[in-house]
Amino acid sequence: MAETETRTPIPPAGPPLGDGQRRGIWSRLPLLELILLGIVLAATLGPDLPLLNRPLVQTFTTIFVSITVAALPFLVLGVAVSGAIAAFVPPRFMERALPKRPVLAVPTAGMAGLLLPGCECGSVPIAGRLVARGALPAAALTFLLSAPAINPVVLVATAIAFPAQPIVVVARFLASLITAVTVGLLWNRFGRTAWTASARAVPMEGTKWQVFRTTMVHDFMQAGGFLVIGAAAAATLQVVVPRSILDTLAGSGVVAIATMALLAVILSICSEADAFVAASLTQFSMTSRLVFMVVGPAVDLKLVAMQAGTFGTPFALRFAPLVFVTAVVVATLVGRILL
Amino acid sequence: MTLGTQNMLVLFIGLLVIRLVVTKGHLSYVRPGLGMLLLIAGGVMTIVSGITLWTAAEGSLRRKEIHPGHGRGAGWLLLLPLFALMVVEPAPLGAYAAGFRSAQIPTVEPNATFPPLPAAEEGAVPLPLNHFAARALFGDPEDLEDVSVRLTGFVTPDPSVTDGFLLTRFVVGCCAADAVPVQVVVHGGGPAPPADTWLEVDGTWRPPAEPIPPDRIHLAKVHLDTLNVRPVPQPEAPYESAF
Repeated sequence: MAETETRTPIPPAGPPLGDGQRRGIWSRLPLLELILLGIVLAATLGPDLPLLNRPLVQTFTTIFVSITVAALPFLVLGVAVSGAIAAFVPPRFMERALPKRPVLAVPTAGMAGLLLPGCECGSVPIAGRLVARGALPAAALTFLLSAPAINPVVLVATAIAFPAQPIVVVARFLASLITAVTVGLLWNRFGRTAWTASARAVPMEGTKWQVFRTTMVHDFMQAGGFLVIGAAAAATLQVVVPRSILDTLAGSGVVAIATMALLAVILSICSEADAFVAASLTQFSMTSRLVFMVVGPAVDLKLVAMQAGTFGTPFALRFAPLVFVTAVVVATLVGRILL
Repeated sequence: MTLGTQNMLVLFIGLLVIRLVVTKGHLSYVRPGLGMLLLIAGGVMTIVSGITLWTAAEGSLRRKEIHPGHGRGAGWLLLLPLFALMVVEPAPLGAYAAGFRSAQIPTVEPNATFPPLPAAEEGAVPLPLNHFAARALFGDPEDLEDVSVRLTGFVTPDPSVTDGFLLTRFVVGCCAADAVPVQVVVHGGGPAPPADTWLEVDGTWRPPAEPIPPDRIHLAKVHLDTLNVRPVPQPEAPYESAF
């Protein structure tokens, strides 16, 4: 990796990057060396290491591994779509496929979220590739938010989790779609191109299938690496903040909404499974449980990490708070009206 | 990272994922239904990276990755969970995790109706622990009265339970990150075995002394009077599925 630093990178197309972006913290850390050291230590000491035997560390490791393993199928689906976009979709196609006016393009992208089954890990590389391919960033980000929340698999899972209240499915669909479109329109109005510049296209040579494979492997490594950071953060918080404190917090009103919104960010649960967790948290109001289901697929620890990896840290620092506030407000309003 | 390194890593990851599913190791981490998807994902990544390594000209494999400058090297982090799998092989969530997560009765609704109980096998009706708990709290009491049920779970110590011990099973929607512990208080099964001992318990439901108000139901406990307790090995699928 040190080698990578000394060589002049091949200049990518588009405007040059700022220094801050080029020398991000990830390129400075001797990650490989650290990881190898850790592996050697763990392998030699292994189960004899008292630290690894402690139940807290065991539980952390189980949750950490679980989040990563469960995300893999959806990540592979996402990077396969991303690779296909890079290889088989003509560069100008995106601009022509979506309506010219952002006011129409953003809701169209939101409805397109119905088409991608799976959870949020897969939609991040796809949105990154759409931006790289010249799609309107606001539209790509709307797709990023709507796909994990309103696809058929998630809606069916929600219907199963709330069998006696089909209105929950309607409320979830509406709140998530409105959130995605609102964020898209706000981004279109106030966002800057520079904030999504990290997702720019890299010219690739070779046949279409070579481009497909190279893009797929590249996006898998990039999104996957950041997924691991997010999974580690989520597993840490799950172990350090005991969920049993929920038993003491309960009820309704603003406290419940704030608690459930923060819980969604911390737990980083797959959007396919969050309805079942929401259904089990019976001590909280229905509106606050809707907030949980709308915030979770839009902004949680692993998503923020993956977005930072794909679009850059300056993007994530602006996007995550915007989405969080929008999702909480929209879900609360929809919950008050429908539930 | 060169193109070659990148593809070697992905090939390695793909093969490890396939091995995880073939050895049924994934059942400790995700719901059983994800096994097929994991197999497909592992296969796709193995094939894609394998073709590149097999067909690419040597020079192109040695070439440095062209990258827009951000997140370079983060891909190495993917090795962390995989080596955790290989070296530590973390056990499925057990009594410790059940202790710090609040027990819940998932996937039930006030008006839910339950299908008829399955037929008894060797004198008891085998029921997933979460189905039994849901029926006990939300079902028709007559369905369960005087019926011998057979539950499988692990022992969880709880100082607040004096006359018996807790039998726990985690219910999973997608992966262990969303696992919810479901618990039944087992009475008359003798002294509590050590934590994390897997047991098969035959018993009958002990209805609550007085009805549980709906706003307390998330704190309610389900009780079982024991007829028979047998230690069993940990089931192949340690988690029950939420769907």
